[in-house]
Amino acid sequence: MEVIHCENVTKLQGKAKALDQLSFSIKENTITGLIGRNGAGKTTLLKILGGLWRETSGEVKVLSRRPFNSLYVSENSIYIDDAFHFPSHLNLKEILREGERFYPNWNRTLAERLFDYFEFHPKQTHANLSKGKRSTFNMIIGLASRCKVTLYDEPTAGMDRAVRKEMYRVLLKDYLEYPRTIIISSHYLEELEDLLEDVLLLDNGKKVLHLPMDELKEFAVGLTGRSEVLLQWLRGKTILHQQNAGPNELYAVVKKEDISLPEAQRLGMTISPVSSSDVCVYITDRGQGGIDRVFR
Amino acid sequence: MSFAELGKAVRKQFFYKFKLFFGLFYSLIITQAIAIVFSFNGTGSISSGQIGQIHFYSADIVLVFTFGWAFISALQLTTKPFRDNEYLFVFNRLSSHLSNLLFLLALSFIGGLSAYLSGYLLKVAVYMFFDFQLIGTNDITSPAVVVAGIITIVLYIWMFASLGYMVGSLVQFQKVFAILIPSIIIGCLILVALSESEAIIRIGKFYFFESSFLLVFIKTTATVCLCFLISAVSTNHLEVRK
Repeated sequence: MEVIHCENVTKLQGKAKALDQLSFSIKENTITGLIGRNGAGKTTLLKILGGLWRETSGEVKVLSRRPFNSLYVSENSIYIDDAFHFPSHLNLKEILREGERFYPNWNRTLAERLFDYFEFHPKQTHANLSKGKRSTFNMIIGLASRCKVTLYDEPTAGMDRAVRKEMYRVLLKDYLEYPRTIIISSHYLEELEDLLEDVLLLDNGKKVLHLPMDELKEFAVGLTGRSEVLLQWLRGKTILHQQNAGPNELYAVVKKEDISLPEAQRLGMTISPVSSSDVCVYITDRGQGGIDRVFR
Repeated sequence: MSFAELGKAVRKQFFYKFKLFFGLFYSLIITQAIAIVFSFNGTGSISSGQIGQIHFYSADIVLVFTFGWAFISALQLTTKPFRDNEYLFVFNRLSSHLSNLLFLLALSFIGGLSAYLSGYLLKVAVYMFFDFQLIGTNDITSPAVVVAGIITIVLYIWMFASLGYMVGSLVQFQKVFAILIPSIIIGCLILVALSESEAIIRIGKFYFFESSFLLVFIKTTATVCLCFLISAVSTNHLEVRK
């Protein structure tokens, strides 16, 4: 069953298109990673799905309803980011209690266990927490609310590596116990690899890729070989990324389906796997040369 | 969205708002305390050669201050820091407006009750601390009149609150109202002061010189409904947590 369905969704911010004719759908009970560079439209998309923002055109359906201003979607979805403004005079325990009052599936045991594990003080206020602690607390709310659709917008911002890893583990365990539809946007794709089932890659408000994680891992290969041989052989094929690997040596990343690996081996090229996060970076690259162009 | 769903969300938000906006009660206490101090001078007086001066003491100043407090408090509810706190859990625009409407009514009730009682406080204070001779308290009325009086006060406060709420919502909708509305209000005040503008005075009389309880009830609640309708329509398409 499709829980999220978007068709030709466009969102204008001023004259700029934050989302541009975006169409995709997400099945029930999956974890999707929303990947993209800064300004690719990740937050805009999540806020529209969460019903906070309004799409300019196109059709958005979450749980078969238009999310904007929908009470039903508000009750069955939660959008977590690091800009939560919790009331300053409610302490952390009181905020959890409010969450419990609002969300029908709230899991109090989980909330309290996580609260204790991450060493929060019940009388602390949200505004006095450090950035990482705040993100951790917000994520606890997201986990405990057990909404059918859970949207995390860079939930791990400011967390240290250890907490990030633990949080991903908690997320997975709770998901297995209580499956729901989760979308996570993050810049740390490599850390999420084991968690995600699907990846949705955005660039400039457009969908670039939407495929299962396993396919993304096998999406591209890196070839290293003599420059002229490599370039000759790859003529007419899309080179996602290339860089010099030494004198007269070239490293090129190409789609796996475009080439035949045995032939590459026969031509004396070294074949190396390309990590999924590198693939995403290469695909959304702003053009040859990268940041170095600025200094030319 | 079913009616029951909406009702449930409104109820939850209503109680949430009590915790959220608790600070408003402190400002109420301070406002009314200041108003009582101002009232010590008497809210009116007449001089007569034979018996000297007669001062009147009533809760009028407290009431006017409470109107102002209600207006500003309601306006505050629509400002960004308050809204950000509000739009956290389960909500939509309609449930948010309805719970605000009810919350403002509850606020008005507390403000109105304490304003009414402050009239007695004032008289007791004057009797205790000043060397005046008490002529009459004018308070021996039937319970029904007292209740009607309190309800009327509450309704007036609620009306001012909803006016403030409407102003706040309009400003949310279009920033230009932030300049336009104060200009209009100040302009009207100047008009009244300089030329005793008939139209504005008539509006005042329409609301405040009404002797029938039923008509007061109808006039104020109709105004409240109109204000909330305008608020709801003007903010219905606005996005939250920008």
